[in-house]
Amino acid sequence: MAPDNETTWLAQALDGDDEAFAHIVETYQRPVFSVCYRMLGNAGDAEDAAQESFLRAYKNLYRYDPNRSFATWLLSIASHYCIDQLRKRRLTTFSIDDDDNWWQPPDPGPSPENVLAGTERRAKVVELLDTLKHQDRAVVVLHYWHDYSYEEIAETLELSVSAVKSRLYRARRTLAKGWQEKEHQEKALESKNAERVPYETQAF
Amino acid sequence: MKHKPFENWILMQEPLLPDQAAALEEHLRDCQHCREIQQAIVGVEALFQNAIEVEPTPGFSQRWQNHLEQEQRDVLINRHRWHSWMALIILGNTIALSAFLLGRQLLSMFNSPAEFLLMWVYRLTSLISSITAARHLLSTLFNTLPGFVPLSAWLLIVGVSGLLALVTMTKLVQFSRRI
Repeated sequence: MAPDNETTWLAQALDGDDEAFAHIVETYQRPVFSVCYRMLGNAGDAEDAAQESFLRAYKNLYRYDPNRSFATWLLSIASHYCIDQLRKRRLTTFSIDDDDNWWQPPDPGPSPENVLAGTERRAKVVELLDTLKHQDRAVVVLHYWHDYSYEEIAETLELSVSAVKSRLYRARRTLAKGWQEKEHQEKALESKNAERVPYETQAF
Repeated sequence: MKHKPFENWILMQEPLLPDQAAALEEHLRDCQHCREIQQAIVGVEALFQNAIEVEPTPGFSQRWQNHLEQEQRDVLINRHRWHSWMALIILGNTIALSAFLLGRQLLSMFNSPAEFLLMWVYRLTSLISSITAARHLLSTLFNTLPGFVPLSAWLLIVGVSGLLALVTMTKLVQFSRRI
């Protein structure tokens, strides 16, 4: 997207042109939704959070400093809103059934195995992210899914660069621990299933 | 075996000096604990990289516009509701105050009607005489003032007053549009 367009839309939106801001929504809906989804773990909450983030941005547009990146400012609003939501609900529950209605497979005819693998991967990502503290989670989301630099993350989350580094360090340690536990569980389950096979075959 | 510096290097993911990288590689060959951490980090990052790109359902922008319209309607309704409540409170207070004052008057009238009537006649005559005095004062002013103030000053006063009225009207119109 050309930055000229963005500047024009922002200027028009500041003059009260809702259509101009709708262009901004159209342009940034994916990154904002993505941050909200990774932070909150399900599509329904992510949609509400993304809508609310755009509404807050619209209402506070006069506070936006044109010398800063608009994307950073917008994602900052979305991240802080999601952190507040996580604080409110404390426990995030994720239902795989929830997102069957919204998920648009990239391939028009995916095989059931692919869909299952995708769903499992998504559930695993959510489970791992759930083990993190709210702000650490935001740091991880911006770093891994939006390729933000330490400086950009610091600006978005209003932290110092050293705080970003230490949060990322702590998050990686927690994620590694979660990953190892998951691996152990899966291995234990596999060996349990392997032990059950001879017993079941004997019955026939 | 000391794990801490190697664990930090794995988790920080900062660029290492060649001798640090060699030391880490050597340590990983012998230390299962650190190897498992590194494998876990690699696994997590691969999972994140391969995570399917999430997108909102089509029509997000339209839904946002509906959301905005709903929000603006709600703000307007709340403002009207607040104005109505304020008007109701002012009206209620006015009615209560009027009832209180009228009640007092009625009470004094029932207690001594002659005195009440006399008091009102006195008030009426005082009012008429005050109006007459004010009229005399104003007519005297109007007759004498033009002699003191030159015509150019009058024109200036009228011009500035008109300008002020115009500015006030414009501000009011702008304010009502913003609402």
